[in-house]
Amino acid sequence: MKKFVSILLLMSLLFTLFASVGHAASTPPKLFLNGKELLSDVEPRIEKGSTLVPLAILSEGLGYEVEWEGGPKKVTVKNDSTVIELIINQTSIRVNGEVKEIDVTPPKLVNWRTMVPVRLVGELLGISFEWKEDVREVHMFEKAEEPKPGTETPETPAVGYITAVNMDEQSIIRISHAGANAPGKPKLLDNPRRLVIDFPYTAFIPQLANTIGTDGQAKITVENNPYLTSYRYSQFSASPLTARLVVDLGDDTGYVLTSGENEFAIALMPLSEVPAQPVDPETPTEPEEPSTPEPSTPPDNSADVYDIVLDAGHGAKDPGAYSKSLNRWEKEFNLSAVLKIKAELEKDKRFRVHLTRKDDTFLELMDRVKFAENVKADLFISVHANSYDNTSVSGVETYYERANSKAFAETMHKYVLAGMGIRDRGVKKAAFKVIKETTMPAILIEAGYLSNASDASALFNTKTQDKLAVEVAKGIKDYLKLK
Amino acid sequence: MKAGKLRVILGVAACTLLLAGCGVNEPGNVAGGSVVSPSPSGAPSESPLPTASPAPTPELLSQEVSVYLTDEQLLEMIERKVTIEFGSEEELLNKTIEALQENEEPNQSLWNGIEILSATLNEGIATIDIKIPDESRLGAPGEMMLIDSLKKTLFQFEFIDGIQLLVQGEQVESLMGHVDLEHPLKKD
Repeated sequence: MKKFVSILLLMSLLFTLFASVGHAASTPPKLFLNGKELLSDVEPRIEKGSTLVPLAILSEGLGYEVEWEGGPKKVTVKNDSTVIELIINQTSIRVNGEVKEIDVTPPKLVNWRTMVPVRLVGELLGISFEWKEDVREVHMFEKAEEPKPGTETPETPAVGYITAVNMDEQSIIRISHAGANAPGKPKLLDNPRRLVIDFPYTAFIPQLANTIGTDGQAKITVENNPYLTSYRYSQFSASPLTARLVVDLGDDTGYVLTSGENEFAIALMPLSEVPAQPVDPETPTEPEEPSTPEPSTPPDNSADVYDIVLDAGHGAKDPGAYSKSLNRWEKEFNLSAVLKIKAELEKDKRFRVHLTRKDDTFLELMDRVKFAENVKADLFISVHANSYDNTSVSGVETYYERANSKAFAETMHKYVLAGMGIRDRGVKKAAFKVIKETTMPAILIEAGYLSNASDASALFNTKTQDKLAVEVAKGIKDYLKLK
Repeated sequence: MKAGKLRVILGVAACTLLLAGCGVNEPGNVAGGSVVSPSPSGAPSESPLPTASPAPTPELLSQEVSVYLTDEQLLEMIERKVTIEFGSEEELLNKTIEALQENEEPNQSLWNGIEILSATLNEGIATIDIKIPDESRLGAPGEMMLIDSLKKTLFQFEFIDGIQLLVQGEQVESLMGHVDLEHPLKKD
């Protein structure tokens, strides 16, 4: 049984506004299950004829699995055969994936708590109700289980919701979601050239569903963008429930699909800039993940699989250093470089690469440290680019902080230099948080100075980035003494 | 300067006593007049030089202060000495930060591109609220030296025990995404 008490508490703080909603005037009703009174710290209340109870009654009192997601303000209640999804203040609910309109009071936040209409939920889950007006008591009775052989369906994944679809100035289409399932492999189709991405067991929140027109899709036309002319989304199929995104691509457009926390991102770019080996769209690198190593048998049976964390510095609101000569930001270089290094490393099955960020998201330094610790990384590389007022300063610096990282820094520095082909500013020791507070050998590479025009063009040159990726992969193998 | 009339007077008086006691002030620069109340329109203590006008002159103290720049190759910190005249410790703090922001070619001030929104002093903690324009973001070594240069500069003052560095009012984990920022930064 999942409990989300802390989330509820947090949510309660966020919704203190609701605290002023009036109290029910009359005595609260009492709840009974099979004749036994259910007690709750928050009193049930009756609104417009519906009895609202706190979520805890459903989970602890009735024994259902209850989940709360703060983002979309979504409540999921399930038993073995039925999944009910409700969104705060919405009269559309979803029962086993099918949308239904309800005519009772929708779930709401009252006095800092999530209150749900108990009768609606209970009846859908097979409970019968009796309301005793004189004593103001709600009596619930569990029906005897009727096992229906044959109708037992294989476990359906929980339905997720897409909460927003947007494109930013960097031509990255972002699909924000709450629990949406990872999309299947994107399909690239021709005539007209388009990218089709399906999200299994995924629906749209009502605000988005409302934007879907009579032709079954919502279409956003994009003007003056070389990568695409439009993108559109639709509820492609009701059974199995599938949400679909189609991007109408230009002829020379490639893409990289990445997944972050509650977001999938499709970065559009010239075909020539797509990393050599596309980033695996299936597996978001979650800290708790360490997916079981593929049963690959490297030529040398004794060889371990090494977990390498690549940390693209900065992201989102923290753009990092600025290249005035190119009008580009460090965060773009860092991400591009780690994607290429990842692709290069993954050509070798002995490496399992984890990215702290796969798209333009912001991460605190502590989150990066925790990430590396959680995946039990064998090696940690943070990729950055440098800046200084004096624009003549240029070159590569490699930093380490702990004694167990010095040899790694010294080895890698040679390869980074070879990859970048710019001035050598040496291996240095400094207490940058991500290399200080991690425990595995960890380095921070400052691959060049964005403030220096010549370094900047090298940093943003596709061929240099490719070379850097190859050299970094070689350096890691050298350090690990892998053939 | 938000300080009320009384606070300024008290501050200046306290400062005078303190500095006189330590013998830091240079007698030649201390105006002979008594403590003067500020005019209602502004803070006279901000005027850089004591005026020789017949009007009552604010009492200004003078102190030689070290501020730290970085060399042209971003390799080491360079000390620069400046003489600052001030009426209160808070003013000394503000003027020292101003001096810290000045380049002295070929040496660079890493603070040059940072906007100081406010710098106040309360019970030994200098609270400095800043804004970092995106174009002024530094790399890892620059951020490290940015913080070190501020610490080295401000902790030369006995009256500062800690620096609470805020970015637009917020306690951030890191100024520029490489170094974790203590709240407050403490004297080593």
